[in-house]
Amino acid sequence: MALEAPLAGFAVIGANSPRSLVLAPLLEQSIVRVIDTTAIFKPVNPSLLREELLKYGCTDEDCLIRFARDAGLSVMIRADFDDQSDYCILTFTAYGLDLPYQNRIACRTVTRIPLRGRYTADEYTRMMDEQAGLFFSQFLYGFQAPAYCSALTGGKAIWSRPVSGWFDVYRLREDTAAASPRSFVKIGRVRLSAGVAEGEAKIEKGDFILIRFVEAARLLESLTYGKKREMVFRPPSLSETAYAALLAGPASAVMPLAAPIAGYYRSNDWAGAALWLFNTAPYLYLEISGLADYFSNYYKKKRTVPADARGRFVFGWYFMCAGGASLMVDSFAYGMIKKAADYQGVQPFLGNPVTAGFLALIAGGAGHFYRGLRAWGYLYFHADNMLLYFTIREFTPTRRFNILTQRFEAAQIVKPRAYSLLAAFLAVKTGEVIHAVLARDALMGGTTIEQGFSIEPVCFGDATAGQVWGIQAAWRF
Amino acid sequence: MTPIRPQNVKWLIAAALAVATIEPDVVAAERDTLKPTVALFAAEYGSLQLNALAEASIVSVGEVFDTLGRFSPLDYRLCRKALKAQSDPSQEDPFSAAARSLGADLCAVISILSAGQVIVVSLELKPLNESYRRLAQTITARSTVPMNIPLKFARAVAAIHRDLPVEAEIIEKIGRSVWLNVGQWHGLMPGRYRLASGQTIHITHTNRYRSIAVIPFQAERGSRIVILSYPRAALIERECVKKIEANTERRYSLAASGLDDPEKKFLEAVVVINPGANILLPGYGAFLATSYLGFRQTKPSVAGIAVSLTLVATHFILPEAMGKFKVNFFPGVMDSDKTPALNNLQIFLWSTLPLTASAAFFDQLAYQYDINTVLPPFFLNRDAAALVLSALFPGAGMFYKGWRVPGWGFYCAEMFLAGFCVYRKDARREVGYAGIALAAVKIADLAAAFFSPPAYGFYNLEAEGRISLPALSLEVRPSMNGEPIYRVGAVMAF
Repeated sequence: MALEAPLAGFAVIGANSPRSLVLAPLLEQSIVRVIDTTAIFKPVNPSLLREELLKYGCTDEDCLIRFARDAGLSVMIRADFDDQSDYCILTFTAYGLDLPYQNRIACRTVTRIPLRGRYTADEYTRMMDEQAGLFFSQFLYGFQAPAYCSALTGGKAIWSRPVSGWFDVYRLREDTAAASPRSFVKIGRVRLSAGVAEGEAKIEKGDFILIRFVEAARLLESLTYGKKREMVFRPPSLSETAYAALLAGPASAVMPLAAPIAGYYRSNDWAGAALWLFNTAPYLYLEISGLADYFSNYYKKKRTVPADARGRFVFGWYFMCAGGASLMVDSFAYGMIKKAADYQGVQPFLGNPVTAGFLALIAGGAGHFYRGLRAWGYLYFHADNMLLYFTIREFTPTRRFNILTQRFEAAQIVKPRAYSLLAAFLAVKTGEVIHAVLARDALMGGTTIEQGFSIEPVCFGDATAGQVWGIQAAWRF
Repeated sequence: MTPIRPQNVKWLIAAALAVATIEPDVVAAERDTLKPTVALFAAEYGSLQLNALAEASIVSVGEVFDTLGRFSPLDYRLCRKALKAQSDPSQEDPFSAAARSLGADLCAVISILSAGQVIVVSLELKPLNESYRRLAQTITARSTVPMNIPLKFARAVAAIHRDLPVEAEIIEKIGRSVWLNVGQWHGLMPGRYRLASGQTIHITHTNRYRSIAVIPFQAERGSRIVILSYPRAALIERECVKKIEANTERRYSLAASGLDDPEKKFLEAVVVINPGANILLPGYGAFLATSYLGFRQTKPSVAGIAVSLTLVATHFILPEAMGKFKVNFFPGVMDSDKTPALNNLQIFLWSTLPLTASAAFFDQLAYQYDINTVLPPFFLNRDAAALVLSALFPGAGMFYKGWRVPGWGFYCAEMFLAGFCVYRKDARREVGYAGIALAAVKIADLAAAFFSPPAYGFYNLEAEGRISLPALSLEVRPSMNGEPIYRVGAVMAF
């Protein structure tokens, strides 16, 4: 059975600047490539479509939907650019013409794309490829297309697409044939093998199932990510991990000065600097006070060393030699990943899962900072450091100096507490390392500024001077 | 429908478009949209700039109407055509007449007045359908940044949508199901919705403009119901505010006045330039350091310099005065008259001199921002920036936002309480109370820094929403004894 892929139309309708006029054809080419890659739809020539739509002034929603319906398209996608000088808002709107959408918007995304760098045609093309890939994968995640029962022969129901698996079967209500939208009801479930269902007595010709494209969406999203990763990072190598291993100690030691000046200040990362200031302060205090207190009051002195002083001393060494590396990584990696996301050159040392794992192992949150995941990084940074400090404290009990024997005697540790803390620390650390290795780098460009879903409190007066209070959850297109 | 094939694609597109774009009234019967409509007009001006601004405003307002799903904007070209067709000079309101001729439910007229640097704009909403009578109003706004005018209109129009429920009509009835003339465009999706009458309906299917619902009561074709679903106006308003802020920042930022990397310069000025300048010239040095930020005109705030000089003098003289001018001037150098508590206070006062120098600098900066009509660096993240500054320097967040007197207030309160804690270090109870008071003041300082709006008038003019211009009146009438009575009034709607 020769299968005709459903048609998808795409046109850039809104473009309010010379730059967006340049981006429009690039985006059209990108979306055609993406549609071709997935092979679910057949694209209509977008440049021609845009030209004709603009020529006829058919740019409003009503007209677009009527046009798409008349032209037999299954999906009509429009894109609008709103250029705001140093950023651009790109809105994709996909109308589904077939069931179950019946002219409804199937997917809408609004993305703010920063445009502060220096770009040539290459960067613009890559940027549009990325946005097209991300949008289309998001569209495919939720999209459903009908496949109709096209023939009933010998007890077999033949469906218009060679799909396999269990599906819900729907039937259009005959009494609503003249109405819009058409009403349909679920009549049961069917098991299909390559588009054929056997022994399904209640199925009639014209019944339909809804097919999803989640696998294709995942594949497309992963391809888009992988492609960008290849373009903006160097291929990972173990020598980079070796450099990281060599430099981690010195970097941790100089972090209090180097991170703010050579990292945040140099790359204009002011949010990072503010976060660094407030998040690192308690641990720097522990480091400095722990080392200073020990060396000035207890080192080579015959005095009882309290658990707290010993704990801070050991933690001080850890934070100086390894723990501080996380914020050093953050101060450099965050800016570099932002550049990578914005196609501002190929970034060295980034994108290596082995390095991410190593960094996560030696310093709390470092692996995630390396990936550009700041929120996760700070979460692990605090969880690790707090657990480690309290664990160290439990394992370094008070060391009493016995004047009679002239020797130090260590007090007993509280084993259940100490080992519980150690277990918790190891569990968090294991999870962190695995997460850091498997996590993706935060290198996709653009920020979604409208998810389409919101929960808002409502309080309104009604026509009878009463009040309406409540919470409204809305999905709006 | 035959699908489009590559060889005949152009002809088929053209044919489909030709059908789709036939005049709306011709295909009215086929259209599945029965949306209320709004006709948008702009008063015409001799100025090209004002006309362009009016058209941009119409586009912007039209987009908001369309997005929020209560009124569909009519094509502006059709509106202009209808307006031109209103040739009767005796007609009082050609805009309403034109809108009525197009079958619109609402008429919106935009007018713009350029008053020096400020552009005053108004949007008059005239309901043509009795159901929307409560929408009759005039929205007035002003701005000095032309790009903000369409956004201000858009924000105001979004705001009036906040409490507009979905008004639907039953257009078909088959069995227990009814077809409503509202759909996804109006914000409805399959699910249960409350009606104004208190009942609940279940919407089972929607398309863009219609839906199928099961209703729990008997209703005839043509009856109307009010569904308590409200548009997400807040999201649009927030987005407009963001754009207004970005435009304002672009217009009034230090970068716009020609300074490269203002954030770096600001930090360098705080950390290096100002401390150096204050060592050389206490008080006045804070003003000199502001020139590092490249202000076009610099003028010192004499009051600020006087306050900072007084405070610097206090740092040095207070311990002396408390020791009746007999104690050694330098901290840490003890003598028979200097008590340990006084020595502690002296150390505290000398070591906090950089904080006073910084407060003086932030105060002078606030003055420079105001007289140069320039916004501080980091202004798009002003609340976080003010919070960080206040956390580091007492009162700095308030200075940053232009509130100079509260800034000095917080500064003095925190320094006094901290100084008291140091001076009375051994009196645990007093230190406890003072510590609690210090923590409370610090929290208040941080909260005020974060939540207070900026004090810069030129920014607030851009940030404000619709305005209610006061109407002034003057009346002279005779009294009972024949003497004139003068009455001056100001009426402001709110």
